[in-house]
Amino acid sequence: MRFGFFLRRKVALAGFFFIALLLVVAVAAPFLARIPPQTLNPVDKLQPPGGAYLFGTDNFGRDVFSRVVYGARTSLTGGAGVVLFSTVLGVLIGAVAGYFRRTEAWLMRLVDVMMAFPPLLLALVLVSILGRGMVNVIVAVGVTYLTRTVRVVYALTLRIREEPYIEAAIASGVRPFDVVARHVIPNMLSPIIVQATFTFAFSLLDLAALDFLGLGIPPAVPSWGNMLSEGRMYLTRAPWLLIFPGASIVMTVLSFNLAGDVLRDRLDPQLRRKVEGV
Amino acid sequence: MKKMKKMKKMKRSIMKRNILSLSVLVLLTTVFAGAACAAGVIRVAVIDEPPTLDQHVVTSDLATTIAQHVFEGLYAFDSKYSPVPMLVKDEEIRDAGKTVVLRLREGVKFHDGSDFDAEDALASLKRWGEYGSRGPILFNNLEKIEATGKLELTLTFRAPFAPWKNLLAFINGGPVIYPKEVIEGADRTPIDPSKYIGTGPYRFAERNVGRYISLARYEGYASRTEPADGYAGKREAIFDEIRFIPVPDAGTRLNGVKAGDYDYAEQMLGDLFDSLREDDSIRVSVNQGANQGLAFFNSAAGVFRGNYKLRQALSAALDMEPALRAAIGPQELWKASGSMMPDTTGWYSTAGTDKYSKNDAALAKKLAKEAGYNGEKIVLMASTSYKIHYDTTLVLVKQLQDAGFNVDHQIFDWATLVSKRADPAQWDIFFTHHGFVPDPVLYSFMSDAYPGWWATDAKAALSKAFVETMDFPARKGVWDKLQALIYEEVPIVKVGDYFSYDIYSPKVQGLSESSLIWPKFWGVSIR
Amino acid sequence: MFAYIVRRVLSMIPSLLLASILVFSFIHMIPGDPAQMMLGDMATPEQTEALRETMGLDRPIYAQYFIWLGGILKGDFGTSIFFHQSVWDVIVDRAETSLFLAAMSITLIIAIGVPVGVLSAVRCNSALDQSISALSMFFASIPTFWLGLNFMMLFSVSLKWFPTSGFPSVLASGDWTNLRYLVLPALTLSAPNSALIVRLTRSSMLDASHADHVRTARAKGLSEGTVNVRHVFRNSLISVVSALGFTFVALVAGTVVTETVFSLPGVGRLVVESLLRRDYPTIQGIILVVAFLYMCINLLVDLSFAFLDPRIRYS
Repeated sequence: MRFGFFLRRKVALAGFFFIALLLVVAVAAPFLARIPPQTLNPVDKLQPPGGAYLFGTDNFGRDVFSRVVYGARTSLTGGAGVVLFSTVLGVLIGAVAGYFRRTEAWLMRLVDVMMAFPPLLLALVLVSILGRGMVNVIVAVGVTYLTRTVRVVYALTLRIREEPYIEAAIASGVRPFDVVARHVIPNMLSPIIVQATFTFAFSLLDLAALDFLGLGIPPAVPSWGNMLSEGRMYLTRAPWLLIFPGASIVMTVLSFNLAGDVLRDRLDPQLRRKVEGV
Repeated sequence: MKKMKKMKKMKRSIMKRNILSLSVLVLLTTVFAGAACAAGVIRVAVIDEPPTLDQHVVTSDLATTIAQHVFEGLYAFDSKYSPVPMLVKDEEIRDAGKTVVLRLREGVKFHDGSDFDAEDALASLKRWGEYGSRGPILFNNLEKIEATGKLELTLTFRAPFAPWKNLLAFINGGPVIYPKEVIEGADRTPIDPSKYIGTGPYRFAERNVGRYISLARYEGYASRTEPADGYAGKREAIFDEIRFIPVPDAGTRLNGVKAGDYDYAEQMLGDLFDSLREDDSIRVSVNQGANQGLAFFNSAAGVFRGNYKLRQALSAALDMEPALRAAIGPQELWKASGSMMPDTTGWYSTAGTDKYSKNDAALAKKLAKEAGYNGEKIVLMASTSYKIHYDTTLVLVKQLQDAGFNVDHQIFDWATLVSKRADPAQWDIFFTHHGFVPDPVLYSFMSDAYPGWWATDAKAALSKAFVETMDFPARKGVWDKLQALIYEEVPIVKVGDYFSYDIYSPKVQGLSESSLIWPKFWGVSIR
Repeated sequence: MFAYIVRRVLSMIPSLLLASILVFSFIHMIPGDPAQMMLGDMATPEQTEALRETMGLDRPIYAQYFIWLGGILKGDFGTSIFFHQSVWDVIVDRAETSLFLAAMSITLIIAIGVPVGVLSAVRCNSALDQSISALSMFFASIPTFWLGLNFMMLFSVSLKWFPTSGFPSVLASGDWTNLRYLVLPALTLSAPNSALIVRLTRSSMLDASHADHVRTARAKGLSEGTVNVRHVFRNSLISVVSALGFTFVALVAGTVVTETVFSLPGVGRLVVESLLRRDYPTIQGIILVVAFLYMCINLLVDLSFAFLDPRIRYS
């Protein structure tokens, strides 16, 4: 028991530490990477790691280290975008559907139907409509998480609106909009934060999958998913093209998962089922 | 809905049985994994599934790779890309080239057992001429075509038309011969697989959607007797079956050949060429039919409309070698050549190529200024569906931007690009590649209707002379002028020649170090 | 109970209708033209236009929708633009791969995920539990294509234990050893999914062990093993079963990436290919069928609650 607890805290700490490191790397990317990630140098293509290129070069002679560093930016932006999109809209729709019963039937029916579409396929269709682009990809993946967030928020709202303090607020004449904004939403912040952390982790995998299928972030943008997708042909010839971005994705997703775990234990032990049950 | 129920039932039983079989399976697999496939079959991993094998209406190279075993044309190319008789026995040219009489071979039988005759050839050519992708190029110059005997076909042209034999021999989007009965009632819709009846050494056996297309040896094949030379001559079917398996991921195709799951795999990645050539467990075969990367300028609308100088300015800024090295890889697989036709053909020409790959930023700036360019946005479209398209443009766009052009690199999947390029208002440049063609008349940009819409008076005059000149040296002279015009009016910018390559298992015999245009599997066996 | 089922089934009708509208409008918003894709590079605008007419693509969009919907009501999902055969037949063809793969993966997921999760919960907070947690967290964080590629390199190319790619039909050939083609893909798919099931089983076991009736059972002096099996495990099954239900649907359609890596003729890859080919009827058909499947599983999961948890009664 003691040993396990200790280990768990240490591992979780490592997760937070890695996220912090990633943030620093993302912000300081221009200082860390000596060579801009887009610089093409066909003469130096497919150089192994070490020497002039810490992580080697790809088939355009671009510096893999720079691309990994800038990829941190792309990944964090992508993940944050998906979280922001799905959480803001999800909370709004979920709370409205849960609080204003007249909208409930329609909104929840729509959400249920959207949930019936396989997430990755839905994202693929949406990207095909919108075209490849950072914002478009965020929206496409965001929509698939949106529905899940709506579901969670809706359930929470239903529960919260039965609480005595809400009834008191309504009785004292607070306008419905203010009730939702001041009382309902603040009372479910912790589960929302926990949900957001996991969304962040899994959306990174979805973004990488879209990149792999050639329908993700535009290939000119250095992203780990694109690097893996372009590098997969070089599995035997230049494994460093896969090792560095691959490890980056695994470590990042892992860190967010660990962080989410700890946050959940701290903030809301009851939520466990709702988040993971989907 | 009844089927739905059945499926559900099936699923349930599958589940049940599966749980049982799983544990057994893991043991069994170690035993069975090594089991080789039946002798007499070659398994060819191809890049995708072709939409149809109907050569009349599609120009997909993949479809041709498969279909050339089943269908034959009146002519075929030998290893020097010269058209020689296939289903034709001999020909007679009258009226200084205006009339062509084709005498057809006797004793050729279709896969359904019926005899091949002039009526079949006539019906097939007519459909190709009316609905085919490349047919109209020939038929627009044709006054009439008729069967003048049981095995005789006569073509009468309005004016002498030089490329006729090349057009009849090029079976990609070309005039393959079906029985008359199949053609009756056929329009632009591809012919149904149940009616894939040709005269080739293999007959169409089965299409299992998503899994494979299978061809079986045709025992009644009437082969030519000349030695095999390119696509011409004797075609000996040694395999009982050829199986074309769609494996879209190139890495999987490679692993599949290494692991012995496939005997042959199309289109490997350029950068792996050196290591695969040294690999003892694999043979490589370079495809000699050069592809070329082409950037098309929009002649119908936008900044480039009528502004040849601005096009020359962009062209002057480009340096093709880095683009080819980045997109293709090793030097053996590309040539930075400005000739529109590769040097393996008699069409090779240096006319105008002093303007190719100038890499001269100063000249580019000077020309741009003269052209009145003021930093207007230039939309360059490329597709990520083809890795080479994207990789090439990535380098070229960078060079243009460095030279001061405001280029907007727009990326689409191929289907979107194709629909966008149909609208002149949406783009200024788009990038694509062109496969090898044996006669320049087959180039897409030679058609005024192809997106880019290059249709100037100078082009029209030269094109007319080009098809009406009959003897080769004189035609070549006209082509030199056309190529010079291309460098003057710049409807397209050529990046260079590049060659794809395939790999196969060392067990496969009879394949050479290189193929001509499409890999073929007659005369091939497995040890 | 019966009334509840009838009501639920009836309520699927408007949902399916809405789904069909959404699918249809999404697909037709995608830029691109199936006729052009089919004819290839050299087709003239006139040829393309003529083919569009033959294919009915020149009709107004709502007319196309009603024709499609009318067909479905008669059991006809239309004709695939690319394959020139009935969409239903194309789907059924591909469904074999997807269903076998999903079944094999779900078997692995249950076989690994549930026992490991139970073990982890029973030995809660021990070093073993922590190692399991860390490991499952790790597997849940790996991109599947990366895992699949590595499996292929190791087990197919180096060790030659399993074939690299493809899947010859089992039902058509009757050769059950063909299932060996699916072993690596199933392993690839089950790795992250088992990890999630491990974590879910663990946490719902822990939740259930704190419930009142479990405490009562312990107070009554029942052995720890009996309590774990009869009370804790049984109750935690609810969320596990529902998660497995949805995982199964996700596995039928959501295995695009794995199918691409191993070149399997499955439903997921068919969607991606059809998207690139602009084969509208095929994409629409698949997505609608999968959505229907999802709704059915949803219903089954809800009903299974009643069987697993005597406290839930539907009226």
